[in-house]
Amino acid sequence: MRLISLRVDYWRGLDRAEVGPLSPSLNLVTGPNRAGKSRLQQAVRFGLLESSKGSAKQKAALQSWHHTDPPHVIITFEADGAEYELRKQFLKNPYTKLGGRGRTWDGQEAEAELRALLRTRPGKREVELVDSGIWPLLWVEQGKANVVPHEHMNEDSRMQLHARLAAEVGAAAVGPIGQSVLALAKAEYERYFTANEGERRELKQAREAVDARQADVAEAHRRHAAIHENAGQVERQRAVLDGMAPRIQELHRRQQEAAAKADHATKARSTLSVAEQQVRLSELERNAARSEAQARVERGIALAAAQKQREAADTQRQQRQSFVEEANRAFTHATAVVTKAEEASATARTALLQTQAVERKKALIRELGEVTKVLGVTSSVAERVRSLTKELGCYGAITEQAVKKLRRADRNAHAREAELKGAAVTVTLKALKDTTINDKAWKKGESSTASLSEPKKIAIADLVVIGIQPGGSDLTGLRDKAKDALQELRDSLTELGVENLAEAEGQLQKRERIAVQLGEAQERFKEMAPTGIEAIVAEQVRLQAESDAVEVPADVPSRRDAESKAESAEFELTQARTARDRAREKAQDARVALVETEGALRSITDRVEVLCKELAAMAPAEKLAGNAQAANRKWEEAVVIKDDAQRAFDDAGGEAAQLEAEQAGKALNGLERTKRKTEIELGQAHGKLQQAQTDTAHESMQDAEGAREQARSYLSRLSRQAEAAKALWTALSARRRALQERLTRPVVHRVGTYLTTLFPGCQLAMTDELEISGLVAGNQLEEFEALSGGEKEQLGLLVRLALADVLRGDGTLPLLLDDSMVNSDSQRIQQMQTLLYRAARKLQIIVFSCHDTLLDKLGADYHQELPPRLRTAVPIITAG
Amino acid sequence: MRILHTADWQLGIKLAFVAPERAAQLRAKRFETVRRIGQLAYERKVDVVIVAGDVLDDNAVGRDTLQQTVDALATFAPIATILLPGNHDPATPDSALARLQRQPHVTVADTRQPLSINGGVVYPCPLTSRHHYDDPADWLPARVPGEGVRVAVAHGGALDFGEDAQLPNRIDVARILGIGFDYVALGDWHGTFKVNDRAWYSGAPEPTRFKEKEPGNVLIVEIDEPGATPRVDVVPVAHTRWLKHEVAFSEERQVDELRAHLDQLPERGSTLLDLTLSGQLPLTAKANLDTMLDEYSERLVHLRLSADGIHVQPTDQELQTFTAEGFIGEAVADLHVTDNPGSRDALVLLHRLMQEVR
Repeated sequence: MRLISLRVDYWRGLDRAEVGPLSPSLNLVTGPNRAGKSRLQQAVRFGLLESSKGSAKQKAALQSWHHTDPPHVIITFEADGAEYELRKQFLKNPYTKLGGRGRTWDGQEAEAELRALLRTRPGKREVELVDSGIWPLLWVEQGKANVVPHEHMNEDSRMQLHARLAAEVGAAAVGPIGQSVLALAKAEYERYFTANEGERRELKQAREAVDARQADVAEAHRRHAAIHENAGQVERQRAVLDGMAPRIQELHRRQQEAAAKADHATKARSTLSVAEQQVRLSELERNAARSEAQARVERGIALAAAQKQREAADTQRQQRQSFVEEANRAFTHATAVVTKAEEASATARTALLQTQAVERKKALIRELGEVTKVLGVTSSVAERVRSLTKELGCYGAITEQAVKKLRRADRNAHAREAELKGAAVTVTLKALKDTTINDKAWKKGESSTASLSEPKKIAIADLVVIGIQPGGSDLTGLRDKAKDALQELRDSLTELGVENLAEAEGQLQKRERIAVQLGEAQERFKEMAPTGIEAIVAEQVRLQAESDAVEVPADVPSRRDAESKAESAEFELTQARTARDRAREKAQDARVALVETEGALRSITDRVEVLCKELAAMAPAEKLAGNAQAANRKWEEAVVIKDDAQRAFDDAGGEAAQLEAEQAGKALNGLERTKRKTEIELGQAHGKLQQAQTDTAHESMQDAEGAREQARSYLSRLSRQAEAAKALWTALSARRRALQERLTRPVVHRVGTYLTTLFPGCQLAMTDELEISGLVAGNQLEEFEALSGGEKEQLGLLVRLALADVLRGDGTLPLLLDDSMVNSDSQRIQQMQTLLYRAARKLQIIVFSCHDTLLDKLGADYHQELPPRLRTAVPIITAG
Repeated sequence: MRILHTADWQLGIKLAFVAPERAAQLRAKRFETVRRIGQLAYERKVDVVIVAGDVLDDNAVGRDTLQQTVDALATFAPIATILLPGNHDPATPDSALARLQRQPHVTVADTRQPLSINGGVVYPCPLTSRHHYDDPADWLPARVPGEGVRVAVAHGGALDFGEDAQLPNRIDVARILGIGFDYVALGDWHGTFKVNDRAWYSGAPEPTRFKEKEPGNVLIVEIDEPGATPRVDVVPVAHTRWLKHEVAFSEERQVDELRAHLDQLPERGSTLLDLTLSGQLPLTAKANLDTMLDEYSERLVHLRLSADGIHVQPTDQELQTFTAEGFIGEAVADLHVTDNPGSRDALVLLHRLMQEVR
């Protein structure tokens, strides 16, 4: 099919436009914006695809703004070797007329014939993609060139493509039955598996059910086994109890035998105990009798010894009495010697004291003379101190501090005076004639100059009084300060009692000289009388009194004689006293010894008396000896009896019999305890067993096994179905993929011839549904949507050229491209022109473009330039 | 002396491979069979019914099973009935037989005590544990002069049974007969089996597995006097039929023949079938077979099917159907080459899908 010419009238503001006769190969329609290029392509689409009837929104928009005449289109085209003319009017008085092959069709017949020629569908209110056959793939509207071509494919175009491709590769495409079987096989597969070949819920649940039932079986088996185990425990415990019975019986027998033996031994033990008690009693009696006889003998011996001691003590007492008397006498003598020596010693000491008094008096007189001399010197120094002190007192106010202050006041007064003088007014008066000034007569030529620092009035005769006010307020201040300074100086002088500073300075020098002299006098006084002059006087008085008190006898021996005699007398006195003390000690020792001997004698006498009394109280010795012998015999008899009893006890088994009985009893009790414990455990195990037997453990186990078998069976069946579905889908999809690869190979090949120019090194990637995935370079796929806008429209155009080439079969098809390279750069547009030129050898290509200069190299066989059209300011809207 | 010899009732058993509701029916049928045995004992005027072990399937059976057992045994009254503990219900502390409600005519022979029965003596050899490695009959005493008919009852494998002597519960039948017993009533073997003239396995009155030989009977044993050879009458009593059938397919008509075979089976509601199929079938025939087997698996008590041996061989016409859609034909060829159960099932599935589409 190819287009021959096109004419539109009143088409959306395009009053009239005509194109053609078009070339069967490459055509170019150019014009500026709004020239009507897109409207021409729209007219082709509406004319060939849409019914003339109806006024849906899309059709209503075709109404021209400037005319009331309805849109109208005339298209001539060639199809299946015949030429046709199609006329259609839309909206107002719509009609369709188709002429060709010597016939004319009107209305619906014309529409039906047209659809048959173009293989399209009527659609509902408007023709959709699904109804438009292959044409949306070939007619690219403005701005849609970068849309992936399969977006403009419908089932019809796919089918036609598949059919063409199938014919080309010699393989049958997937037909409706194949598609349905595929869909069913896929659904069957997806019933069991996910897209990632994971199992779906039904299979998973079946598998989980098997696991769960297996767990149930394990639990049922465990409960079942627990019952058997319980029964086994009961059986084992019964066996234990059965084994215990003869052992307990044997232990009973042994325990009874041991008990009888122990009983016999106990009795023998009792007899033995009585005999042992008897032995102990008779032994005590024997010992008592022996002790009594022995005591009497011992006391007799003691009495004799005591009497002997008493005689010896009495003899000793008499000796010691004579010793005492002799010692007393010696002491008396020694005492008399001492008294005599004391008297001689006193006399010698008195003589010595007298010699000492004489020497003392001499010393006192000497000391007194020295003190009197010191007193005289000291008194004169004291007088000087007093005199200087008085003199210094006359200069009391003249201190260094006061003179310093005076100096400051003097300096200040001079300073203030100088300031005042500097600020004073010098007034010079000169009498020009005789006159009076301040009532004082002035001769002509007399003059006077005065420096005034105080206000002054000068009255010149009775002519004029001149008031002089020097310095103003500043001078007043200076004047006040000078006055104050002078007054301060005067006050200081008055305070010091001097006329001027020189006098004060002279007085200060004098004062300092006196002060130095006073210091020296005071220092000397302190050295001579550190405790004051009164102390020297007191010492003088004391020495005088002491000297007066010392009496000196008339006849005084020499000091050496006196000392010699005194020492001799003292030695003798000491000797006498020593002798006396010794005699006194000896007498005392003798008295002590006498007292001791007298005490011992009394003690022995008392003991003799006690022993005599005791002996008198005791039985006679013979009787006591007889008692001891009788007690000894009795003890010997008791020992024989005890030995017999010991033998009898030993014969009965002794202490071991009791232990044996105890051991046998404990062994029996132990085994009986074990038996009772086992019986309790048996009871418990039996109880548990009975309780467990109320369950339906066996039935439950079988039910669980049955459920597990059912679950396994179901899983097995399901798995088998799933495997079948998987195997089928795998086989079908693999074969179908292989088929699609074969079918798409011609398209990929066709596009490849174009790609080498625009996308060297790249290959088209196409799915089995003839959908473009993108471009493959090496092993890398770049998806269509990831390409740039220019690349998208270039690749899209190339694919459309290839698909159109497939679809045309042996004929041709019109490819309408409305501004389809708006995103491409000039170089690519140039390359595309070459490719379009090449494609136009087999296809009719009609390029609508506003860039006529860019398409200079296109080499179109037909070129029409549409004139520019201006937009009318106000659309004319006519009712009806 | 007339004896009804039976064994291996295994009351309370439930077959795991059978669907739950069918398994429950089979369990109930066993009690019906016991009642049938009681009726037979009455009709044949036996002196004693001897159950030679495994009365119950397990000692852990529930009260419901015990009660149904008691109810079924009640129909035996007043005929003396001796129940011997076997390896399924040994005389252990958890013995289920010991838990059965007492009935005057029923004796649980759980001790080695001879029982006097109408002119004879029955010597029970109870199992007191699940497995005895000693001969449970080794206690049996030799005949003493003046004794009547002597019958030994034991549960286990007979020594001269030709099986491994190391197995538990082995019974020296020759020794028993050698010490003057007239008959040995044996249990444990589920098929009816004559060891010799005086020693028999009665077999189970209801089968439990397909591989059992000659199950479903009880024995009526008559012994006229001590030393007399017993007369044994094998009487079928089973309610269920356990059948095996095999088909090797080579032609499509065999599918119809199998259907006819199944159709003619009597009492399908009591029949369990072990069906083994092999050979080759076209797709359509295989699909028909599958449909038929689905149907019969519902109609029979249980259908055990082994059909992995069937190879699917599409006919030329079937293949043509596939090759009309080129890629489907290629996929069929792939599956056919693979030839495993999965690919065979896939072919059948494809066939079904094609049917649906068309």
